[in-house]
Amino acid sequence: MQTFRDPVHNIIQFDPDSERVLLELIDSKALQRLRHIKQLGLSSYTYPGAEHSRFSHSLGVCHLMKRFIETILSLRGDRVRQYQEELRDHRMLALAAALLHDIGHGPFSHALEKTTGIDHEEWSQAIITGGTEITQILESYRSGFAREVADVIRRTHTAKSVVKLLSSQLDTDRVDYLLRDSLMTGAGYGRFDLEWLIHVLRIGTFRDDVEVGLDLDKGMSIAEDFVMARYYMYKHVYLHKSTRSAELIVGKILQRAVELRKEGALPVDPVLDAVLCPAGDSGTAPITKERLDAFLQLTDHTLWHKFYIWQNHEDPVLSRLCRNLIERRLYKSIPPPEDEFAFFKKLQELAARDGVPVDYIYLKDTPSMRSYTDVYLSHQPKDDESEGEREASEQIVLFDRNGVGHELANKSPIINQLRNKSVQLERIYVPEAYKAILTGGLQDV
Amino acid sequence: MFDSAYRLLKLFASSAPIKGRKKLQKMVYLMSVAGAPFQYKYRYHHFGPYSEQLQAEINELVQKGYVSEKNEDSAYVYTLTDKGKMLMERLEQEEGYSCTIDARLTESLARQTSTFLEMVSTYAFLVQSGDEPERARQKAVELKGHLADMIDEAISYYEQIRWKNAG
Repeated sequence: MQTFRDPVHNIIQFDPDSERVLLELIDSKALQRLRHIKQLGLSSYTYPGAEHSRFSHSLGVCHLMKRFIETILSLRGDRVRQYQEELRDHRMLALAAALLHDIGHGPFSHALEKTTGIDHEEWSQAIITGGTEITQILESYRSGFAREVADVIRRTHTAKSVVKLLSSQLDTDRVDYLLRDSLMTGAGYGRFDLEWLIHVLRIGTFRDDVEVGLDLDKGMSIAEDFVMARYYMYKHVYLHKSTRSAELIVGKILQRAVELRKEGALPVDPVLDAVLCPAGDSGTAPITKERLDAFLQLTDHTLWHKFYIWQNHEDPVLSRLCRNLIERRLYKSIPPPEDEFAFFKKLQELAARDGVPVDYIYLKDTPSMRSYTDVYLSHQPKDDESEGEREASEQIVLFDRNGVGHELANKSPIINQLRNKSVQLERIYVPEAYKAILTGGLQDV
Repeated sequence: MFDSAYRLLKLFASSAPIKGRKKLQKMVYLMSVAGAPFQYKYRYHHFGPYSEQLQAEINELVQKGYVSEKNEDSAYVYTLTDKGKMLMERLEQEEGYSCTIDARLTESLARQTSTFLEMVSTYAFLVQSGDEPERARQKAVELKGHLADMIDEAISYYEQIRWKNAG
């Protein structure tokens, strides 16, 4: 057995014969690249321990997928038989998709997505089906396998139990990242009882769809614990104001770099040029082979190297932003203005006074601008909507003894309260020097 | 600061009240496919492509009073408010904001049922994310078995929309 030691799951093992394809994927260049991409981007600016990589998370999700499938296969009863058959038939598909689900993430992924207009799921599709080493490994396992893995990650595979185990309100991805991020940041409120969660795992049908859920009688407390962990992690880790400020500064650095590159004011860099501003780019340039090859060479280190060079660039906007990031002199949050339009006018006056483009003296952070949100907590449930008009209802399901599903918030008063409160953190950040002018001395939010 | 919100305000201004969250999601998705400058990320959900960012932006506009959200006959109806109209006009007059929303396309999309738009957008999502047309057709029928009889009409509608983009 090939064995990895892991801080969350301890021993993670792969069988070199029956799971050879997984080991080949792990050894591929594209997956090894994830060792050099931090799972939490700039969270280490707030939580210094958060240095873990997307590589360890990918192994963790694959490991959890095995455990989830094992539990579901051990359940008894006619109601679960069809899902057990589906999972037995597609076990390797589920494991390969789990291992590759984050393969399309680049450095500072969400800032990069905004600059290129291509999100990590599109890169994932291209890496898996675009004739790369990954495609070859998957196709040598079985013809058509690469497309199937891409379908699971795109959530359009017809084996819905596999899709739901990787991507739903109670999936292997979320369970691993919450535990891992909690452990590595030191934020203990993100922990929950994984062993009990797996013990009470169930599968069934709810509102005409397959859902992975928990046992109603035995799983209520762990379900509540799981949602509370999410609530705290989003509030205090993923959306921490300093972390978000740093992430948004990276977005502005990339935005400025693209502007300067297009004006010819930044030197040629074949890799960055291909990813950030390919020839003829109108903001929606396709993923060509050249662009894909370049993307697969990008890591956190590539961009940090650039930031250190650009801190001395002659363009004052770019150099100041890079120094802000390197020296951790982050923009400060201020309360969202009541009159947004008047506030924007004030920003324009300041920008004109100091000769800086207005776009670079503020950072706006609203739920609609974030690439990651927790929709279960941030969107209030709309239970008064008819089934036909219902859209992407987010649900955590508890199955009773008869296999009937119940939404957690309808069974748990605590979660009901939390869901109806709805977490909507909206912030504006400005350079420290502007804070007093813009707020009249109001405190941080 | 208002780019993305402005585009949505413009959509609501150019349309009769939009009834149903599903219809609104699918309309915005298909308008993006047709070249409208919306920049939301979409993922495939039970009812087809869905954008959490779009839903969040609508929530923000509703909270700030720029768009009204009312439940009528178990469906949510969205309309531009006077406050929203005022913001939109100030942005245009004082800041030079502009954005062309194809009113005929908006009208056409609004006339369709939400289930038809679900099938069109599912097919569109599959093609837009890399499937060949024949595979997308087959897959759309597999994923939306209960809407299978709409597939030919859905593909034809998608082709009309896509043609707008290409033109």
